[in-house]
Amino acid sequence: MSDLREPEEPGDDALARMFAAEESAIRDDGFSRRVVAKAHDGIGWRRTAVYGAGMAGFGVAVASIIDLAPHLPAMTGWFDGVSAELREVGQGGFDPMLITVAAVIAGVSFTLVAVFAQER
Amino acid sequence: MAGDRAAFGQLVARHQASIRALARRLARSASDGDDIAQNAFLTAWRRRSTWRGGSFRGWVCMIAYREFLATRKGPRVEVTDEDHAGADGETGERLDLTRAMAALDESERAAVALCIGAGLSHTEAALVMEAPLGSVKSWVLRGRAKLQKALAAYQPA
Repeated sequence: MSDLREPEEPGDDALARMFAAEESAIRDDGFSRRVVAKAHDGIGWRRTAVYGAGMAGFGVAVASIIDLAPHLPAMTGWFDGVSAELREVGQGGFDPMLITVAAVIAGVSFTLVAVFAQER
Repeated sequence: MAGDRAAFGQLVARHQASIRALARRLARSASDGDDIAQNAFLTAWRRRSTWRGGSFRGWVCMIAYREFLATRKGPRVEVTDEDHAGADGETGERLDLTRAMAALDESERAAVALCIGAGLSHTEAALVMEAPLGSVKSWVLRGRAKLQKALAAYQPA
């Protein structure tokens, strides 16, 4: 917003006075307090919870791919290589606890990213 | 962060009346206007890192106008005389002003609310409304003429 102001602009007539009177009649009946309180809440516990749940789910899903690898169908072409790699990893016997920890770490990391992103 | 919040609280307290007045005039309803004003301040808080300095009020006016446009995309709410009469015990002159504003075309009302009500320049209002400067000037001129006619009784002799 510039501070450019043109000489013929409206401002100092009876209408402006009436608008000013109308504005001055608006009392701060807790409006500012409510806005500031919502802004503080607005760090967004609700949004964070939604993002967090979504991202934690994403983390679990990623970790589960490794877990599901042995059950993946054999695929052809380029995918065949990926499928085989995954199955090999899965048959390597990953510790379920390790997978769970990886999923939790992934979920928490994404949640933190979401929180910082919405704070920007 | 805490300093940001304290400063934001002071800005809201300082500008709440002008932003609420603008939003009420745009929405033609005190309650809808206050909702728009509240959303505008909260949007300003969330996007504070994008504020490039200058007039905070002008910036929030722009956000409030966008919020108003966004609410118009939802279900239309019929505005009644009760909405006009109920705000802060409006009577006499203020009620007549509210009704005269409500009778303006939407573009005229927005341009008048931004320029005469919120005190933005024509250039600033054109930026806010994303409209040509000439159109804004014309809307203000026509809107002002209509208001002066409707409110002739309150004009100084």
